[in-house]
Amino acid sequence: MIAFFLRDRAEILRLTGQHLFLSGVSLGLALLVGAPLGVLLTRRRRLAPWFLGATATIQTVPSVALLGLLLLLPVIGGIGVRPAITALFLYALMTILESVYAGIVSVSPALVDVGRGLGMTELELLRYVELPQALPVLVAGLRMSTVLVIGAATVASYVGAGGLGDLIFRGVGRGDADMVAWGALPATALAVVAHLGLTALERRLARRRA
Amino acid sequence: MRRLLAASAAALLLSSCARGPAPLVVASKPFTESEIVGEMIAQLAESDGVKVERRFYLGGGVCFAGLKRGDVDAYVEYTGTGLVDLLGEPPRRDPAEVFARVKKVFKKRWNLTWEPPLGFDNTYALVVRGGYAKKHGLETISDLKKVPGGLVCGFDLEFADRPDGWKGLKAAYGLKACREIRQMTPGLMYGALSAGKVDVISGYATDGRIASYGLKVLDDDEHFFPPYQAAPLLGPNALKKDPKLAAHLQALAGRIGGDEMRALNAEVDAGHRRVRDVARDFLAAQGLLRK
Repeated sequence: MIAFFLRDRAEILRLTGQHLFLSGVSLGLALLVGAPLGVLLTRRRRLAPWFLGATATIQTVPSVALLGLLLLLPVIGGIGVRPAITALFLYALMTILESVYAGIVSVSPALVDVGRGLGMTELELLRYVELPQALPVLVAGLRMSTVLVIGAATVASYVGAGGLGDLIFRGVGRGDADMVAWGALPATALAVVAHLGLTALERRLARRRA
Repeated sequence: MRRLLAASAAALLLSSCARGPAPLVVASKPFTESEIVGEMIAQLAESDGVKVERRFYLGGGVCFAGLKRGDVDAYVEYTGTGLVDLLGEPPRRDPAEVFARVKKVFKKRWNLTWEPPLGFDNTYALVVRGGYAKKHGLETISDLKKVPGGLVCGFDLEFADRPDGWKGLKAAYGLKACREIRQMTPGLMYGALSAGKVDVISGYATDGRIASYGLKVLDDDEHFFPPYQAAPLLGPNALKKDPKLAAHLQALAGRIGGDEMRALNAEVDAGHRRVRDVARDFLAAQGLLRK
C-alpha cells in the first residue's frame, strides 16, 4: 500500500488534480446556470415543476448510461473531458436548481412584503431580502451537489476523461487492491474535505443570520 | 471564486480548440492486454516524433464509438468481436476468413482500416481450477457433462448473453444449465475461481493469471468459439497524422504470439510492472523501437 504510493505518487497526484478539475468546472458551470435559472423560476412559478422535474429525471439516469448516451451526441458528447463535464454538470444542476428555488420560495412572504413596502425594486428585494434569507439552504444544496459530483466524477474514466476513476477501474480490472485503494482514498478525502468545509460555511451563515 | 470558475471554463473551451497539429489519439479497452498493445502503437508513433494522446481503459463499446466519430484514431480490436458484435454477423470458424470479412466490410461501411493481426488469438476460454479438473477428470468442455450436480458459473457481463457466449455454447455442447450464474467483471473472475467461489469462468485465452493461479483451460473440442485475433483498427486520419504508422504495424504483425501475450499480461497483472515499461521492453527486444 505504501510502496504503491511511493512508486506512483506523481500519477496519483496528477489524477487527483484531474478529478478536482472535472468536479470544479462542472460545479462552477452548474452554479452559473442553476442559480439564475432557480431565481427565474421563483418569478415564474408555474414553470418550476417542469424544470425541476426534468433535471430530477436526468439525475435518476445511471451515470454510465448517461455517458453512453452522450457518446453519440455532437459537440457536448463523444470521448474525453467534454462529455464527462456535461454529465457531471447535469447531475449538479438538479440539486442547485432545487435548493435555489426552495430557498427563495421558503422566505417568509411577510418579509418580502416589508421589502416591497419600503419601495425595493425586484433586484433589491432579491439582493437584500431573499438571497440572504435563503443562503443557508443554498449552501446546503451546494454541499450536496459537491459531494455528489466528486463521487460521480470517478465514472468519467469510462469515456477517457481521466480522474481517480482511472485507478479504481484499472485496479479492479487487474485485481490490484492497492491501486483501487489509491483511487478511492483521495476521492473520499476530497469529498470529506468539501463536505466539512461547506458544512462549516453553512454553520457560520446560520449563526450570522440568527 | 467566481473568477476562478470563469477562468477554468475558459481554459476548457480553449483546450478544445486546435493548437498545433492534432495529436494521434490511441485508445484501449478496459483490460490490461488492450492497454499493453495500445501502448505499443502509441510508442511506435512517438518514435516518429508524432504527438500522441492516450485514452486508455475506456468502457465497453467506447473505443469503437470514438473511432467512428473521429475522436479516436487507433485501438486494437479483436476480429471475432468485429464480426459478431460490431457487424452483427454470425460467427465463422476460419481466422483468415473472419479477418478478410471484417477488413472488407469495415472499410466500405465506415472507412476504417484493419491492419494485419498481431499474432495472438484471445478467444474466450472456459477455465476451471487445476485441482478441480483433476478431481473430475476434465480435459475438454465436453467433459463438463461428467460433473455431478450443477455448476456455479462466473461469467463476465457480456458472456452470459452473447450468442457466441454461454447461450450458444450450452446448446452446442448439450450442457446443463448452470446452478447459478454470477456475473462479474473479467478482472475479478480469476480470483473468484481460485478462491473456490465459482466452479468455472469465461476467461480469456491470453490472460496471464491462468498460469500464475494454476488454472486449467478446457479444450474447445467442438471448436465452438470463433477466432478473436487481435489487430490494430485505424480511423481515416491515423495515417495522415503518422504516415509511417502502417509500416510500423506491418513490422509488428505476427510478432506477439499467445505465449508472448500471456507473459506480457502477467508482467503487469501479477508482476505489477508499468504498462509503458512492459511495452517498451518488448518493442526494444524485437528491434522495433529505434531511439
